[in-house]
Amino acid sequence: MKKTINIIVKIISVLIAFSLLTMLFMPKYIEKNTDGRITAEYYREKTPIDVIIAGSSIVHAGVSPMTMYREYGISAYDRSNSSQVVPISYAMIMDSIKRNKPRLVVMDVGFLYQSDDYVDEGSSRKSMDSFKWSKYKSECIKDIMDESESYIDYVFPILRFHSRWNDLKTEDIKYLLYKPTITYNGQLLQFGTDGKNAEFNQRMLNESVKATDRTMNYLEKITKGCNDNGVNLLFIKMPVIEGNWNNTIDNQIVEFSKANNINYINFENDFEKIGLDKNTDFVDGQHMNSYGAEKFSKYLSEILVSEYDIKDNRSDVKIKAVFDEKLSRYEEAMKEQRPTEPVSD
Amino acid sequence: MSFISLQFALFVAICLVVFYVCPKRFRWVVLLVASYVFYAICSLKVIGYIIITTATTYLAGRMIENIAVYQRSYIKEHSELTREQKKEFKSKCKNKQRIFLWSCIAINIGILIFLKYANWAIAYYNYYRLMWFGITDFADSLNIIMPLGVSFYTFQSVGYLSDVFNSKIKAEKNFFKHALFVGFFPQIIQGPISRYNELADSLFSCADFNFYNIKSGFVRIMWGLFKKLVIADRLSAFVKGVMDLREYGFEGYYIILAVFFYSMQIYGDFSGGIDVTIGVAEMFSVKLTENFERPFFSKSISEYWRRWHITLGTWFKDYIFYPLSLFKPFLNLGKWVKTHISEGLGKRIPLYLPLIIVWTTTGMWHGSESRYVVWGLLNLFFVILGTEFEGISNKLIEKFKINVNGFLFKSYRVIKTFCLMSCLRLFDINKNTERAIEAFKGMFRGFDNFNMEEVYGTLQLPHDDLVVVIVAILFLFTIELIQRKGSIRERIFKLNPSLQLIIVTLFSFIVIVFGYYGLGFDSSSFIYGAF
Repeated sequence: MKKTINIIVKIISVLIAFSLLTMLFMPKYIEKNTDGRITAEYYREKTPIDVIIAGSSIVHAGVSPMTMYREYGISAYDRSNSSQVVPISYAMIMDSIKRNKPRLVVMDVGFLYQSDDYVDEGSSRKSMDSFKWSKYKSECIKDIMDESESYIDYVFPILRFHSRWNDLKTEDIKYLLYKPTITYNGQLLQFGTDGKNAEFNQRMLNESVKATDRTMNYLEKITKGCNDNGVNLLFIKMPVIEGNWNNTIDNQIVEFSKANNINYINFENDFEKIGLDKNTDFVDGQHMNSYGAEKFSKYLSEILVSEYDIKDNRSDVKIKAVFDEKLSRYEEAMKEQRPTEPVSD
Repeated sequence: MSFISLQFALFVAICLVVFYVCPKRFRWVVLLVASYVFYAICSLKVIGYIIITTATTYLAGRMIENIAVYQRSYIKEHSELTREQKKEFKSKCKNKQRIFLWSCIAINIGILIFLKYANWAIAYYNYYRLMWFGITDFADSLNIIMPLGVSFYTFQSVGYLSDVFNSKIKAEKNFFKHALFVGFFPQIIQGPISRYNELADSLFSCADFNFYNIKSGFVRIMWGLFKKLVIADRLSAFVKGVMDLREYGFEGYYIILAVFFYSMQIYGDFSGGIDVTIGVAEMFSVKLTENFERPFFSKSISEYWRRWHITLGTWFKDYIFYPLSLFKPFLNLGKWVKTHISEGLGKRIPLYLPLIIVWTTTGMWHGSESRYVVWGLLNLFFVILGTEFEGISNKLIEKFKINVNGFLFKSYRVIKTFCLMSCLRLFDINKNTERAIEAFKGMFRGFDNFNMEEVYGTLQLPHDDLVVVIVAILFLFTIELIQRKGSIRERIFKLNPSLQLIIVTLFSFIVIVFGYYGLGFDSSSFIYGAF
């Protein structure tokens, strides 16, 4: 018996040491590349999330769940990483449905121009490394990996990140065991106004570019996943000054939405209605800053409340307690104009 | 499936569980199935070659053995035979055995030569047709897929057959056990070339489970991975860079460094791979022959070759050199020269002619290009030089009263051998003989061009990696020095179990962290894996 316990203790000790080593070498994404924290922080959510907003960095810059709660009591979360590809969006939506069964999934379609071979290992890693293991994660990894990658590197991230041995910083020790919450339900705050330098060109893609068959298949899978679980689905096209978009893809989305009875709202031409000003509300040609995000989120919330009957959670004591704490942190950051994320596309 | 992959680790783990769960008498069957599954995963399309080698050497071995048994029983039953008649009968039997031996060797060596040299021969055929006759209608090269480990299992099988022929061992009766001997999966990629009498016992008897074998094998594997991943693979881009860019001013110190580092790279790669092989086999309680014995501490080239790729060296010695040194035409030629030309030369002919053949073959084994033959013959030249000048050297030592056992003199000999062997490797790292000679000349010029920033940048050995590799090489040499006094693993395993665990875990972490593998690095192949 003593011998067995001894062996078990040794095995556990080695596993703990291995885990610590892995944790040490994995990028922390706290002081820079903070979009890498969006996935991890989702799993910290203790309250029900009614609305999941999926998409790319345009979403985590331009949709403010804190504003949505403050104004309408909506509990929402941005599950959107930089350069997020459609298989990751599908995995995130299904993961959210299985864990949290939201009432509504809002999906920005603005990134569906990507070709099938579009892959950005760094961004994929930010999305997937802290993604909890499920069949969705596993299938997603197999789908997004390029030839140089190996599945096993996602299972044991130390095999990928060991080469950081000469790049370790104090951040890696400081945040080894404890990582503060830095996003605001997935939103990353930005206060730049370089959008003023951009010229309106919302459909700058060549018309020959279209959403690929794989992309459309994933849209079907997302639709089926939502339908099977009784979750509403809404497609949106985020307002941008310069957009990787064209009429061809827009028509594809319109047709798909009609065929599947899904609402599709394109906000490209709603700058005035929303109150967006390219001179003050955009970090660059594509990403809203946090002021723009507040305006857009209010506008979006009105639609969600009126058309999807999303409930007001402000009267729920438990949810209120959690969100009020977050809101206070958010408002303080807004007041101090303290950014979380240098936005990339 | 590469040795350096988690798939291989998983494969070994599954095999180990099945192996030790199985009743003892069936364990060798598990190894056989595992070996063929491994071979099929790696080399399914050309699995037929290893089956041909297995079948032909098994049948030939059995026939040779049967003839020997028949010979003994016939002589026993016919006691009336005169001595002459017995001799004649034995001679007839031996001739029959020879037919089987040589037919089988012809088939297997023929396959090996075809696989390794067919395209080389076609290239030369095209070249000379063009040069001599101006014919530009080139023959197409063949689409040959090299079977995994073809040189290693062919040499091992031929060695087995030769031992059966010389009655050193009895032929294996069980075809499937013979198949396991030929195709045992850990050694299939790059050897060692095992002898039947050394391997069979542990391979077929399958000892009881012993945790010591598992942990000892694991440490050996990690040591191999350290040499391969931390040292060898970290240096490969630098060495290749210097040789490829030599014309652009990367001479002098660059080449000296590259030559030194290539020695480390090839040693780390090859001996590291062998450590993994021996470690995996040890986990299955199978003891494989050692292939390296700290070769960089050799004091002469002859000694170096006794300590580097030992199993290939002994194979050539036992199956080519010894038979050739007793080859009658060589002996007769030696006698003739002794009588008609020179006594000294006559004495040397039966020794040096087989050596020339052995070293030419060794060179050709390493590759079909002429630079390998030059490399082999240069090795022989220095071996002969060492032998011929031994007398003069001894006299000088005596005259100057040099203490041959002193540290300084030993160090001088070790460094001299290391430098010489490293320089000879220029034929290995360069694409042809001319480039190798140019690189050698380049070692003595262009010293002013040296710039560490080029090492860190263009030659892809960044400062931090250079520090790691130097520390790792020093660690390797230190461990090898300590190993002279006995096995370090045994010393570790005498320590307190918790301390053992800490040491092994820490060392494994060092390999995981400082290994040169993963995205952007190709660590899956071994230099000797292509032989």
